[in-house]
Amino acid sequence: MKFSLSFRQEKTFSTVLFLTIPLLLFTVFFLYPIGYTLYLSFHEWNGISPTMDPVGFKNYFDIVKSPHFRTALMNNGKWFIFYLLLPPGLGLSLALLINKGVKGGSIFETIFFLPNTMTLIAVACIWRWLYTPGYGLFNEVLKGIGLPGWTQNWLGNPQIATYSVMIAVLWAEVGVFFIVYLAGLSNVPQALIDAAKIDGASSLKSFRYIIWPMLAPATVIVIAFSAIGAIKIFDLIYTLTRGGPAYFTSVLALFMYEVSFNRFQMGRGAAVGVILFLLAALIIGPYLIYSMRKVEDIRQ
Amino acid sequence: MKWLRQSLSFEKLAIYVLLIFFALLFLLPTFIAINTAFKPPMEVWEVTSFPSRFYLGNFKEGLSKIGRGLINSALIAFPAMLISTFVGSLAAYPLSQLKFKGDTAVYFLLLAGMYVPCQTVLIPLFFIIRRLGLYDTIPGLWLIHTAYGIPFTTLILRNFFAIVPGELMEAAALDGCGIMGYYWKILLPVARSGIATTLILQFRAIWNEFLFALTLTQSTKTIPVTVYLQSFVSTTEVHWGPLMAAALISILPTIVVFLVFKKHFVKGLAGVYK
Repeated sequence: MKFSLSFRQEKTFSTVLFLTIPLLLFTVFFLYPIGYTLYLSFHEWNGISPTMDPVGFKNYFDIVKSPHFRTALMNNGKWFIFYLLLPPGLGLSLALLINKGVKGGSIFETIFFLPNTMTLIAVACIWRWLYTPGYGLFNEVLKGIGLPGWTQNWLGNPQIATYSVMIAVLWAEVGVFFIVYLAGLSNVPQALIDAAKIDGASSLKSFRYIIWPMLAPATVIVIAFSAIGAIKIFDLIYTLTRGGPAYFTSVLALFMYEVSFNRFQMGRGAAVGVILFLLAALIIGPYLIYSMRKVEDIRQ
Repeated sequence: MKWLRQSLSFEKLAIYVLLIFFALLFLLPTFIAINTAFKPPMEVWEVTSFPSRFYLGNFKEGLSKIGRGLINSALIAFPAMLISTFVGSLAAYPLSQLKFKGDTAVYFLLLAGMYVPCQTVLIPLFFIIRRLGLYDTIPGLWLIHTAYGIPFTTLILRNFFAIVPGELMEAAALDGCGIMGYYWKILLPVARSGIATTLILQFRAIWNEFLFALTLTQSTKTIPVTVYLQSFVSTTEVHWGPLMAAALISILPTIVVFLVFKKHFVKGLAGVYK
């Protein structure tokens, strides 16, 4: 009896001890800054002056009126749609192809995942070179196959620049979507598909009615992953176009960085930070609740 | 029956054709970068031709532009991956092995941290780091990568620790091994494959990180390779040969780690997003 009591006490003590450092860091680097950003968003501050002027919702009104913000928000919307469709679509297609029991699947896996190991800055270097107007690969190939009229200033034309960046992101990031779907597919029992085939189900039908429903958990994660990708997108745009031409390829993360660290309008920058946080909470909140329920299930 | 077999082999063939097509497409950008990096300056413009000779001058020039960044990145990434994995294990242990009141809430909180946009914390972070005297220092980046690694390292290590059977702990307790002793002597060794996976994924994340480094470093002795590379590509007249060489050098460490530890990579990522 004495043993079990002291064991429980030790357990409580240890739990507290182990969680102290992680929770302390979490408080200092997550909770406090989020609160401070919210506070700052209602003030005007240049980052240096000892005083901050409270301005109520002025920063938010100013932002909403700014055309740069509206373009950036629209672009985040485009990124959201892109992220929901293309990386998951291509990732799933590649996973389905490999899952058919091909030889050398491991080599294909390596090839499709390789860009995902690179820093996005290096990815941007490579793609800037491919997109170079005069003699980059894309324009050279178009000229080579007799379509010189199709050559473009891929990153300089505001009509297409965002889509050009999307292709680079697709190349760089599809690997992780591919891996997640591949893992999901490995959970689908082959016997089930074989049985459906014997019953005369086409590949398409067995995908629609057997594989796709069984991939639902993977798809939920992919959607969450996509959504946050669309909100966080920064590195590649910053390096490829710096939001340009003008601000046509800008996104909220870039707008925030520019306002805060180039123009030193900390209050405004903070307001953009709050808007980003709210967008993330709105989209990710339901997913978190869903995944928490799953966690509970596992432990039962 | 014969017809069925034929149609199956046709399907197989089509799959191979598609896979090889996509594989070539995926390899193309890296191949062009390698091809350009080995070209003498006069040939760089002919993007579709092979180099007439192996020219290493680009690597020399590329290295002179980002070499210091490689050293800085190594000084940042190795300690930071160790510390952040360790701190993640501190949180993951009670969350996976010790049931306590509010454990779900703590887990929920830490997990949510993974989805906080960096821009939401960036301004206060800048001033916190300055006040701690850690602005533009390598230990400052260790701290940041540790703190912002917590959601990921906790999540992944919790999954790995959860597989370790609870009976092990009961047995250890009977043998007089306390909760502390259990962590050091049993849990960490038993979960070493999971710890290796976490270290590898953290190495990649830290080596590749850009925004925090851009905001919180400014001198040649601290700036990591990503920021060096970014300022190289942003110059008005880019020298493509040296730039491609520099980009390739910068990705070499993560690619080598990936090729050597591919199983860990795949298992880890598939496990996290499960």
